[in-house]
Amino acid sequence: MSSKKLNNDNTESESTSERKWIALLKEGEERGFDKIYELYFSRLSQFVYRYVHSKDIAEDLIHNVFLSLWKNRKNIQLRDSLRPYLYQAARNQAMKYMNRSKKDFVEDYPLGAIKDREQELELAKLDSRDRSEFQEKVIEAVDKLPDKRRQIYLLSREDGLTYKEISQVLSISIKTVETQISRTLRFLREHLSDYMPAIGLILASIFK
Amino acid sequence: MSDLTNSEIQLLVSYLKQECTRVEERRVEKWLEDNEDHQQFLSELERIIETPAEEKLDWDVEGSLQRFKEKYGLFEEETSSLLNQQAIKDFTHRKIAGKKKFRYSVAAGFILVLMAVLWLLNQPNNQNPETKTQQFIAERGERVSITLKDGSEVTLNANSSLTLSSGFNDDSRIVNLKGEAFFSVTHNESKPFEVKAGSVYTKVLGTKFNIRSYDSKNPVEVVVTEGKVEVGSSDKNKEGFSQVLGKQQRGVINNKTGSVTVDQVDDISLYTGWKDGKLVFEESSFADVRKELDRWYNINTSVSDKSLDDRQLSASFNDESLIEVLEIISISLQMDYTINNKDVIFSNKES
Repeated sequence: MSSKKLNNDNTESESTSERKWIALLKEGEERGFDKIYELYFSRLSQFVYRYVHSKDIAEDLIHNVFLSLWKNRKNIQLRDSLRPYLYQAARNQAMKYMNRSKKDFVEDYPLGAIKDREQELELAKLDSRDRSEFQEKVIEAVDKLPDKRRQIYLLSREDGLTYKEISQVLSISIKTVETQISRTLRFLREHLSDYMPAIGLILASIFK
Repeated sequence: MSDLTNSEIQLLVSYLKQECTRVEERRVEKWLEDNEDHQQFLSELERIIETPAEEKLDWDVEGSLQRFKEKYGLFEEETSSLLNQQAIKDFTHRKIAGKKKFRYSVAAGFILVLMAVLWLLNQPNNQNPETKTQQFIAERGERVSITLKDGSEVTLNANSSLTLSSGFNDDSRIVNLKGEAFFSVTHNESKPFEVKAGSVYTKVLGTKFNIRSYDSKNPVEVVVTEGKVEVGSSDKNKEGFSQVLGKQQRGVINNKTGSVTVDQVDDISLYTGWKDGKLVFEESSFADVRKELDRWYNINTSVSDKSLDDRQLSASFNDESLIEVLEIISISLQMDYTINNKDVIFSNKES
């Protein structure tokens, strides 16, 4: 059974639709901006982190996203969700950073990236106690995927973007998205068959 | 299995996500029936798709929001602060300083006026002749919470609807209910709140109560958790058939005769637990249990043998998934069940 909230004009509220917050944002209401920030900050930061490997840099880049969101608030079209727009903006920030020339960013993040990455790997090792062996293996395997394929898979699996949205954010065709995800799943299944229930072993020997 | 094409794998994925067409569904089901290995493949695929594929870092959302606001000084004096900063910067760079400054403050003023105009235009129009009555609907399988214009809160149970009369909150607050709802009505003596359900009316001043009226054939049930309500039949002469119900009292009103039976309720959660996701049964016949489950989970249950409907169930479920509920029923009532999409068939357990 699902439960949802309605406003007195019958529009859905809260997590099912951001419309209310977008409307407030358009009017320059801090509350609207705050709510959208809270809804998206972690997701977008995690997304750019996959490129820049530093929490500080990720935060700065996403702050840029929200700054231009605020600056352009009046021009935003009232719609159900800002998701594709925000993910695209985040990706642009990540790309700009990745393609930076030394003099653009070096003052801002002298040792930032390297130091953070080490710290973060340490913390991740501590968290892994809560995860199952299977989950560990999946994460390991996905980490080894070629960059493009990994980005596509994570946008679909972790961020819940539709194939259409992924194609927009990464500037590739929907067909490519489908192909890459299928290939990833095939790869993961073969790679992980040892860690799935017993019958997996039999299967592996059948189609050698 | 290595000869499955990419689009075939995509098809399996959309099947698992329940996003494919019926035709595609049948195609997959046929493939599954062909070979046990195919079923194994699908369940492995499902396992992978369900498994998180990334280490999620902790992001300090609140802290970063604070840092953001401090960095850019937003929300201190609205947009004019950003523009004034810009104005000051330009001022020091240009010679015709006076003119520029004036232009910027005009721009800031204009934008503020524009914002005010946009705000006014976006206000909902109460005088709109097209929206006479308003209706809120909860479909089968869902619960809906609503806050009305007067601040009253209503929670609708599955398969229920609430219609507000035109002019709700003008000099009275009249609503029409089909199904079940829990009301938390704000106190307003000058605007009496009235719920019409079936041919029964419930009048309140300020109070919390539950009304159940799913079928015009069944009696209407009103349970009060706080305050007082007056219930009666809309068809009959009010004096003869109205009744006041107080806290923890339950009134059962016959739709046809208008008679009201009152009893004391010990455990209110039996009647109001649903709004918090609690499904409670106390010596309920399985036939009644099935009716609730159908509505709650949007399924179609049936029994292979009519006698199963006479078995009694006492259990309480707290926002549990359908499968968990079916498992518990299966153990408590000694029944087996089979599921096919939305159809669930119960049969006697072979011992």
